[in-house]
Amino acid sequence: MGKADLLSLADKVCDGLAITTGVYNEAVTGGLNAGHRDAAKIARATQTGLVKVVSLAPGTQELLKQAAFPSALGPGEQETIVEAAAQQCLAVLDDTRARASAVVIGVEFCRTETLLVEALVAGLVNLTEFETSLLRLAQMRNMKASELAELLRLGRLISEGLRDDHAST
Amino acid sequence: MTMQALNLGRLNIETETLETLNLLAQWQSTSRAQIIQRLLRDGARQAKIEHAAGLYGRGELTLERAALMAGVSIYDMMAHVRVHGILPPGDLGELQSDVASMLARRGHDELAQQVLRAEQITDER
Repeated sequence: MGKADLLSLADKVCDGLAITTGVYNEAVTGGLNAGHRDAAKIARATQTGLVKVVSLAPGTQELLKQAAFPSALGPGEQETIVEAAAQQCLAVLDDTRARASAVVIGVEFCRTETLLVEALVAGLVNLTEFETSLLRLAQMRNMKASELAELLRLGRLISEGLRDDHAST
Repeated sequence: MTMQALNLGRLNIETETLETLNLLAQWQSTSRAQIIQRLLRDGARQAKIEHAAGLYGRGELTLERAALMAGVSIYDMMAHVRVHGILPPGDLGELQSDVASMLARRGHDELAQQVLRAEQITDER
């Protein structure tokens, strides 16, 4: 999200954004040390309060130990899933393996692309803005052409559906 | 960076490679040992990144875990998979289900049904 400048939009969709210290260490500390500009963007977002950094409470750390996640997941992803379980909030997971683990734990999740669709549903962006942001995201994220085409199609389908809903009310 | 001596015993190297090493040492005004040392370091690092990225492409690791395994930042791993066209696994059905779940969560059940119907059509194809 940081890479595609979608943090403010995600904040509006989700009513607040938080990352765990594990994600912070990976995306910000590690990224800044390696000189990545995107890391600086996320660092600024944490400084302005747009993104809250949360440490796992002792109970959540216990949940992390008990969860016995597969080793295919990174520590940041594991922390995100258990923190979302503890806070009963939505986890943003862009990886199939991470989403499969979230299902096992019973955590509701979405991916960056669906957050963008959600912004369209919530009326935070119009169809043109949705498509522009989606194309930018696709470029940043190495999105499969078939997924991009499907998301563009779904965006239009949803946009028309919402227009029909408004017309009938 | 700590250094350790590596005794390779009688390591056979192709004549052409040996000539290239000598040439590189000459061009860069350095010793052959230093050239070998640098090539080994860079090559080993690159091989680690390629191996981890391959596992990511096959869905055996997440991007974050692949970056950790390769000893690079997640941004470096993102750049590597993008440049090499390594695409993450996942299918359209899963994407449509995720969109439908979001719509249902937001109370748009009818739209969610429409998206799921599209999923069935995709599956049938």
